Amino acid sequence: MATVRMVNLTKYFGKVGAVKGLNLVAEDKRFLTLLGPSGCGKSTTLNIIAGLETPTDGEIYLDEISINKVPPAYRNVAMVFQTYALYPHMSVWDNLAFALKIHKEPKGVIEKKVEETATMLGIADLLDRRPRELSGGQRQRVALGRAIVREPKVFLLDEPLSNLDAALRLQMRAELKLLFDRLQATVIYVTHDQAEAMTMSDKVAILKDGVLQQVGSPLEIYYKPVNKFVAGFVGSPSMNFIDCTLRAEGEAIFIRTADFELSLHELTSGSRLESHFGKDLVLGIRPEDLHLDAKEDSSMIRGKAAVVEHLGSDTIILLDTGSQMLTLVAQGSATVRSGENLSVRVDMDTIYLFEKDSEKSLLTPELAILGGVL
Amino acid sequence: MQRAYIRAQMGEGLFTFFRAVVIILSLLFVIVPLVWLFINSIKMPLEWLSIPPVIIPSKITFENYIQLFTNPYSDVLLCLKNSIIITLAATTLSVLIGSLAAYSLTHLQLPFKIVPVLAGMVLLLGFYPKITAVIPYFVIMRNLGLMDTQIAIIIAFVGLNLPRTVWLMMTFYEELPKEIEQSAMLDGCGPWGRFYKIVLPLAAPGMAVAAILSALLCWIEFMIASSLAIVNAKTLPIAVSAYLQDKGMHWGPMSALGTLTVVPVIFFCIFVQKYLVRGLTFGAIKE
Repeated sequence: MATVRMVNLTKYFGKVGAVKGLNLVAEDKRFLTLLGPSGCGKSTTLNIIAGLETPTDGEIYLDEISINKVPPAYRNVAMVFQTYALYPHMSVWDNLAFALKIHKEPKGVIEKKVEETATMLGIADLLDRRPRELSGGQRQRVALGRAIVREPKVFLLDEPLSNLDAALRLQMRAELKLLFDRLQATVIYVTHDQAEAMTMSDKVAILKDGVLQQVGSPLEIYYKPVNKFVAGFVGSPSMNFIDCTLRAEGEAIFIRTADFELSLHELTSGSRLESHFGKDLVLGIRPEDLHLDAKEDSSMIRGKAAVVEHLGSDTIILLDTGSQMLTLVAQGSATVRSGENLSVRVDMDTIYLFEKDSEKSLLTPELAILGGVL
Repeated sequence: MQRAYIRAQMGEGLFTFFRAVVIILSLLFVIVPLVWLFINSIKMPLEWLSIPPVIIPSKITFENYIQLFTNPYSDVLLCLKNSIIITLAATTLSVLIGSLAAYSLTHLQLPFKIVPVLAGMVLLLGFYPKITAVIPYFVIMRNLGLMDTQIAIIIAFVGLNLPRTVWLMMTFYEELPKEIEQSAMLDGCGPWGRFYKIVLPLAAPGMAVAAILSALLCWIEFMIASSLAIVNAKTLPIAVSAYLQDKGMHWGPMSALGTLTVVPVIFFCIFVQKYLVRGLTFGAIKE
């Protein structure tokens, strides 16, 4: 297995920059996810690592050897495509054995490896079928099998789950995680689905417009986003952003928005924020940090429940605070009717503050409250 | 309600009737000359050009057909042999060269948009009037000493067929999802291996269509073949035309040979129709 290091990786298509100066390491035996909206350069990055695209600038190292000039066939990386790209005219067995045959492995070895892989993926009874006779999930497994059977140094997965239906996607997500844990493989996984990134990865790298925003463990990304983009992209439903300013009154600091004012006095990091008093900021509150159990003395936001969505396990409420809608997730089925006036408690230990212009993070939840999960 | 229903039914009926008329009319355009050709071939000589035209011959004769093969001066068998050899060879070569050329044109990456220019030139070759090529081919083949040989006609026919074959195959290759080839690339396949093991089997329906169209053209081509063949390399269409002589028109044998030339084409087309339609709509390789 292997480490992939990208140094100043850059790719321009004409004048359009797909990847701009990417520095990133995919560590040995770790699951790295490239996460971002479509068009952020994550698939291009993957194609460059595979050798299907040549970078405009920068280097890729596989185990500290530059592979920029190495053709894809000799990189010993395997890729699973979003469309699976199975060979339609070959049986599943031939699909799995194809790479091994190309590399002239002995017949016995090929048979053994194909059988092992097929058994591991639960497709041993499908070996005689053609791809068109398989369901989406089965094709997915064959595509994975074709990568696994080669025992490559690095697995590259390009949105492998996005063509599956929702239920199957959840199931495959868990299966993939188990599988790659067992294989102890270096994996680079591309997705636009933050839930996949959060659940499967050891490390998540978030890209936007070809620029790397942040790399970190899923919880680091969740609790310590470096900017508003990352904060908004990770978490579902996504974070509420409210324009605000800071105001000091004696010892206390107040966050003032168009519709409400919250007191920051309990926070130790107040002094750090002094230079931002009076400037335009953005307050970030995750929907799950708004609570329905408001008491008189707590930080409260008042508003009207505009939409109430019952999911059974959760209830999503859209709260109209006057000039803006806030999303709120309450556990269980909350007994709130739409149109009802609500007072909502804000968990002030979990709020985020961003600079409005640069979108940089100013304040994120204190590590202490996370109970050491980071 | 009832009335609207009846009116709708009448509309449907009228539409069906109209459709039938259109189909019959267009069939008439195609079939009447063929039927006329066949009937003429079994008529007695006096009825060939009589006015009003004789549709049902008063006496049926197969003398014209017998003459084709028994007359010592008839070269029908030689022409048939030439036609078969030339059609097979020219079709094989144009599909082979055309599919490789198309693969290169769809996969080459050259600077300055050379590839689209090349592809455009190939397309252009398919557009010029073929008669302009008659004299160049004549001069070239004479200088090469290839006049009146099968090779000369094969070369000319490959030239005629290539533009269409290249463009047809390019469309087929472009329809192939590029991930399949990329996948093969990552699996360790070189360019030749990818073409041979992945692209070729998947583009086979396209090659079949290209081959069918080439074969049809080779079988019926007259103009260029007649300029290059004198005696030994004559093809069937030339033999048909040979009955137009200064001593008069030999309508009977001409119709008989014409019928014999066309019949295989008709059966061939019925047989491959399914593939032609499927191939020309390019749906055959979609998963």
